[in-house]
Amino acid sequence: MPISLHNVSDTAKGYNDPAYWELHDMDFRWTDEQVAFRQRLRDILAAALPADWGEKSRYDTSSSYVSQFSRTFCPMLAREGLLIPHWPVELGGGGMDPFHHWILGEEMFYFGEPRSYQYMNVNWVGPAILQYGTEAQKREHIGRIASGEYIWCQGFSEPSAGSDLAALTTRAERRGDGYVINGSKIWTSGASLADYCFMLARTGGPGTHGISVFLLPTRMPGIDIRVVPSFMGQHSFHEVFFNDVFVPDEMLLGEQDKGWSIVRSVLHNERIGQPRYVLSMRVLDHAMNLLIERGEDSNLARSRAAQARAGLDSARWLAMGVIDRRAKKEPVDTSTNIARYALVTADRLVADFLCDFLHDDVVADIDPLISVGFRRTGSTGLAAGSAEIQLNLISKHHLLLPAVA
Amino acid sequence: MDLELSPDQKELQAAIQRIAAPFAAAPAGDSSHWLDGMPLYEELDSAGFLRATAMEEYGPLGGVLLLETASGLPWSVGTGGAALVAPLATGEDLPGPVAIAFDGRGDVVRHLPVARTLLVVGDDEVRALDLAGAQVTPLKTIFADPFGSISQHEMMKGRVLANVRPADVLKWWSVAVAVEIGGAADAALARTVEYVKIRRQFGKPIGGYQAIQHRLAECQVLVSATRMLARRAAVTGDATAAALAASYAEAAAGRVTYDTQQFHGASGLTREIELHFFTYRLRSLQGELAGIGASSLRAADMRWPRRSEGGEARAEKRRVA
Repeated sequence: MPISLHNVSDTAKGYNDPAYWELHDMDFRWTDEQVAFRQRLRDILAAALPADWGEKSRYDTSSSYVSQFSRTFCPMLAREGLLIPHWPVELGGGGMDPFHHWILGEEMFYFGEPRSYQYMNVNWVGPAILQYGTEAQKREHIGRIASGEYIWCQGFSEPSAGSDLAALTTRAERRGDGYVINGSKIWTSGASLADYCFMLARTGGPGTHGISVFLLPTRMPGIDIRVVPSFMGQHSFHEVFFNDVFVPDEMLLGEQDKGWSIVRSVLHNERIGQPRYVLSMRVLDHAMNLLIERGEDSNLARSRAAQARAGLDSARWLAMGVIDRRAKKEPVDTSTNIARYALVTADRLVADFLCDFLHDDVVADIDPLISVGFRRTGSTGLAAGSAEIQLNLISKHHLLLPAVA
Repeated sequence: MDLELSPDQKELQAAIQRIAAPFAAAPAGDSSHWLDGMPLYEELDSAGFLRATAMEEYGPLGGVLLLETASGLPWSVGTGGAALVAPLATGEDLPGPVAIAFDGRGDVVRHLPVARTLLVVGDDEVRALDLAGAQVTPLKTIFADPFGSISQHEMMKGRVLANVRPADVLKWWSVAVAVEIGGAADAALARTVEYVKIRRQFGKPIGGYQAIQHRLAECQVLVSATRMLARRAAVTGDATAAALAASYAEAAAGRVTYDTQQFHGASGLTREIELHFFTYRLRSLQGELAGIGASSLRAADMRWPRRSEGGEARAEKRRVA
């Protein structure tokens, strides 16, 4: 269809007229309602977090302090209608769109995630149970997730099944009215803090077809949880051992051997589930303020800081593109992998900046923000699927390159 | 928040792409360093596309969509100055094509030989020079667009544009450079992705090697992010966002150029295929605003205002000490 652009001067607004900037449809600005929602969250956080939150929490999602804090903080959010605002109204949620969910995540992550691992409950554990669970499972879990009572962990990775998750070997053997689980998980975040585990075990043959999902309490006979000390956080990593753990049928989520499709939908929600760039932006602002105060904001430092900020902006707006698709109910595509990889590279720029220009602060480990900015970067390229897996998926599904032989 | 093009904008994009379609490839057997896209420029102009930014249903994205398409053509179609920078920074309907230069840097100005107006960005003022009758010396370069030089004396003959701030020109020039890098990088990447699917070594397409896949996937991240940041800067008109978009794009330009050339093997270094139009355009765009250091510093000074003049000196002293 031909398009005519003649007589444009009749319709042109002056470029200095604020109205000109409100007219076009593609819009990178928040609506008044979204701005008010964000402000409400900020007010609530200001009232709820102690003045020395930084010192106490060290912005460590996995610390004992933050996880304990979440057990009163999340119920408070629930009472305010802010724990599951993006869930459907009929399930107790606020029926808000994915952008509100994302704003909530940004405001929480700015403080190192005071919901601790409960962010996983509301992002994907709850939705997975709602989609695949029996009525009894929904009754058992959804109310507790929605009221902020329980912490969940994710029992996926195993010593020989990391990126190749479908190679997992922890077995659940059929016995009577249930299964007996033997095997081990590793790198499990928050396991020693968690009440429940969303775990995968092999019930059938090898590959993706014989995997099932179980929802089981972490405090069961035969489960042994050990912290793996790490540079990431107090309880970031664990080993979880299963020794003849009997789980009744009621703990199986979905159909036996069909767990992989549940995992796939979960992973998509997880890859762009945490606005990690928000804390990195805060760290970078804080670092620059320190340098300015000390008179050490050289042109070189300024230039490098802006390059890191540009990377973080790219991570934020590519993630926002994913949320935009979610809001429009468009199918998940490779924009998720692209956004995740942008985040990985951006976080690396921040860590490089800190090491180059705030060497003493990084080494002395006394400033919680500088320390967390440096520390967290280590895991950005590993969490929620390694950076290299993201590149594989972009190559295969976006660039449509031939399969690697 | 809505990060999708509106139906109007999509229609505009499709219409631009239709008009540009005959210029999507270089003429067979041509081995020029640059292809004169003025016939397409005039066609776009007479159809009104260069003024899309003025239309309320398109906004700044009107100019952006035009420039995204134009910069992804092997032909040189210099629409950025006339369709985006001049209208938004000056509010004037200057005769196009519009070339842009920093005051005192008239030696190498892109699009100058084909431009009708030159915007001169000084420290305190912006001038518009009518190039009819002006002394312009075309340069012989390999950089995919026409370049020329002009003397400082000639540049100063331009009329001062009242109430036009140099910072605004710089802002929209930054947006334009970021958009163009996005368009050219996208074109270079697309050609490379197709090439590695057919080029076979060791018995299989080289696109089947993970070493190559990962680098091209990283290039895709850079291209997607460049485009997103450039569009965001345009739609918001935010000066910091514009400088950040330019900084990001300038970093991406170097990387995408290197990888796309590399995966074409030696043929990427010849004029036998089209790649050079994009790689050399990327290379010139990379430094047009004085490079990533300058764009980053502009962004930093807006994001983190300086406290005093002494910061740089004190930092230097500490490093030496």
